[in-house]
Amino acid sequence: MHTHVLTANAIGSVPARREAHKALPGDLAVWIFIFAELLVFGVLFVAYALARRSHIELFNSEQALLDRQGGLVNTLVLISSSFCLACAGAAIRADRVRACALWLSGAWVLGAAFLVLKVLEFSHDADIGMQLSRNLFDMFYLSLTFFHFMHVLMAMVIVSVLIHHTLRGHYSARAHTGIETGSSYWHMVDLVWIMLFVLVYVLH
Amino acid sequence: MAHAQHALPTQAQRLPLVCCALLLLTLLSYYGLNRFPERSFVLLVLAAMWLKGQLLVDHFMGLRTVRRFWRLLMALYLLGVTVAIGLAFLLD
Repeated sequence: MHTHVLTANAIGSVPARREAHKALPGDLAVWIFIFAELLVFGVLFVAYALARRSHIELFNSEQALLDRQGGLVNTLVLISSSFCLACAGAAIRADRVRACALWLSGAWVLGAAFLVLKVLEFSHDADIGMQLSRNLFDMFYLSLTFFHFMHVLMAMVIVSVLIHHTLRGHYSARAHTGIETGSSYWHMVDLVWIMLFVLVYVLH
Repeated sequence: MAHAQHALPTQAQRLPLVCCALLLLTLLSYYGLNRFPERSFVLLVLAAMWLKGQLLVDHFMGLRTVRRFWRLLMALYLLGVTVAIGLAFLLD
C-alpha cells in the first residue's frame, strides 16, 4: 500500500499532474515581487545599452578598467549557489531535512563569497577613481552592481532564516513553501546577475 | 518500492547537468567567443545569455512544470531584454 502511494505520487496520476502544472513554486506574493524586480532591472539594462550607443568610446575604455576576471568568478559562484538551493529544494521534497540544511548552508557560504569578492572589486574600483558622478559608465556600473549587491545581501538574510527554520524542523516533504519562496528570490538574484555580467563585463 | 525510489530523484538528477551547462556557457561566453567578428560575438554572447536564463528559470526556479502563462511571461521577459540589448548593440 505504502509502495503504491509512493509510486503514484512519484509518477503522478492525471489530475495530480494537472495540479502540478498550475501553481508557481512558493508564495504568489514573492512572484509579484520577483516580476516587479525583474522589470526594474530590465529597464536599467536597456537604459545602459542605449546610453552606451552614444558613448561607445567612453564605455569601452572604462570597461577595460574593470576586474573582469572577478566578474567571471562571481558569476560561477552565484550559479553554484543557485544549484545548491535547487538541491536543497529537491532534498526537502524527498524529506531529507539534514541534506536540505547542508545545501542551504552551501548556498549561504557561496553567497558570502560573492559579497566578499564584490567588496574587493568595489575597493579596486575606488582605487582607480571610479565614482557615481565621474561619468555615465561609472554611474550605470556602480548603481547596477551596488543595487544587485543589496539584493544578494537580502537573499543571504532570507537563506539564514531558512537554515534556522530547517534545523528546527519547520520544513518537510509536505510543508516546504518557505524554502521554495526563498529559493525563488535567490534564483531571481542569480538571473539578474547572469544578464548584468554579460552586459557590463563581457559585451564590448 | 524500488520503482518508487527510482522514480523520485529524476528531476533532482537533472540539476547537476543544468549546473554544468550554465558554468560551461559562462566560460564559453567569456573565453571562447572573443575570436568571432564583433556582430557575431554580440549575437553569440546574447544567445548564450538567453539560454542560461531559460535553463535557470526552467530547472532551478522550477517553472518548467507550472501553468503556461507564467512560463510565457518569464520567456517573454528574457527574450525582450535580450533582443532590446542586442538591438542597442547592433543597430547603427
